[in-house]
Amino acid sequence: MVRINGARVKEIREQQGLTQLYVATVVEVTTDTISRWENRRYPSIKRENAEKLAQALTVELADFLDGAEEDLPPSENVAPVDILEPPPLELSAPVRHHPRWPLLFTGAVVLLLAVFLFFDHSPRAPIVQGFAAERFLPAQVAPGQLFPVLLQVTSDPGSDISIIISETLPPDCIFNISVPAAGVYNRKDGIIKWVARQQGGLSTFAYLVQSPAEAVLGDQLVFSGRILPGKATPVTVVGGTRMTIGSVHWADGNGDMRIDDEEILKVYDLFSELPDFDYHRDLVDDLWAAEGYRRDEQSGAFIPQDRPGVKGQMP
Amino acid sequence: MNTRIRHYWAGISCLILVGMLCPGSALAEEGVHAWYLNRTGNKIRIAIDIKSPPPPVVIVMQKIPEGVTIVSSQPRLQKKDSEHGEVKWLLRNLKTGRTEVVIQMSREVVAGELSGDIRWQSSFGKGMVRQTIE
Repeated sequence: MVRINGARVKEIREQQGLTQLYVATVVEVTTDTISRWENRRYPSIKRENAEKLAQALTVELADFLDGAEEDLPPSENVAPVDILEPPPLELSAPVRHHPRWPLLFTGAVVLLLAVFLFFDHSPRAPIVQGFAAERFLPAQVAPGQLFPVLLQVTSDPGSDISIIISETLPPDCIFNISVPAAGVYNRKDGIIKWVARQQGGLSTFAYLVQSPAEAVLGDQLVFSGRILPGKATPVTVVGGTRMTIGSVHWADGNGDMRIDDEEILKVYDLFSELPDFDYHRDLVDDLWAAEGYRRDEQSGAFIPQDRPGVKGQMP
Repeated sequence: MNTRIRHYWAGISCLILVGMLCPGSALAEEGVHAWYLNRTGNKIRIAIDIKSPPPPVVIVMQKIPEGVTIVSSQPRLQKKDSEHGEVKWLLRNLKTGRTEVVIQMSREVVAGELSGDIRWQSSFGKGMVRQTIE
């Protein structure tokens, strides 16, 4: 057991703009427990939980320990307030039993499975421990350009669990916005985190990042991330991890200085689940309509440019 | 197993068989369908039938006959490629049901002069789907 400074914990949490729900999810305790820790002056908690608390607050453990009181044995004088009640992170979906129709139910499951396996040919990230997460990155981006990153988290049907999605940006990249809103952005370490409840199926997360303005052509940007599903082992985000600094717009997948029909359809398809995500769609539309574009070297802006015989936005 | 249960099993087996025999692309690509409501005159109407779930966006491409220019259109024309004699619309925020593209041409066109297609992203991970406007 260690003794922590509750007021200091609260102060750090508020400075970081974190909610009690977020911290509770990372530490795997209830929000009531976090509230008790913060509102008692020097509560004693398990060292393991203190370490998770430090992780959630993205600070060192020593930053909120009560100095010399570390590694206290549990005593009658120091009432442990670390209530070890299991947090409501993993809830089993209610299962309906139909004893009168077991064969019908089984048949329906077999039918759905067969249809699903037969028709669903889209590539998916491998499901590990009931979870899979895949990242979609543009192939290229210009220095200092804002570009979108998409994360798709898939879980087994019927699952219901709180997860933390943690993304680590390449050095010198700057996080801009995300949908849904991120719970944490640690600019120093380039870490973005979301807390979400995954109730089976597909969840989509997107964020906008600015590439390093000082990057030079050919530089590589490397992303990494993982999903923390409750108490289970973290799952690595697969899919796109690397992109190259170039002089083309991020939506121009083949780098031919024009956004063609296939490219714009792919962009719309990727972000269709997130209508509120502003990835500067109007510019993508304008570049598509103009057939071609150029990049202004001074401002870094992409400017629609018509080829001979090609006119966008007419009449 | 009683007779009723056997009937259910037979029905389910038939459905599985139909599902296996039906090509996946057929289901995927029937989500959008387009045809000309009229092929002659100087006002051309293209009907687009959108099934559920609608794709996020559909591109309508219309070839323009020689010597014809577009006077106006509804919705507004978004892309004109004189080199290839094509005009395009990007239809967004689509809802299930029928939508129309109306084109006012500079002269009357005759049957056989018009051709075009619609393009959208396959929901089965097959990339861009093209379908001729019938």
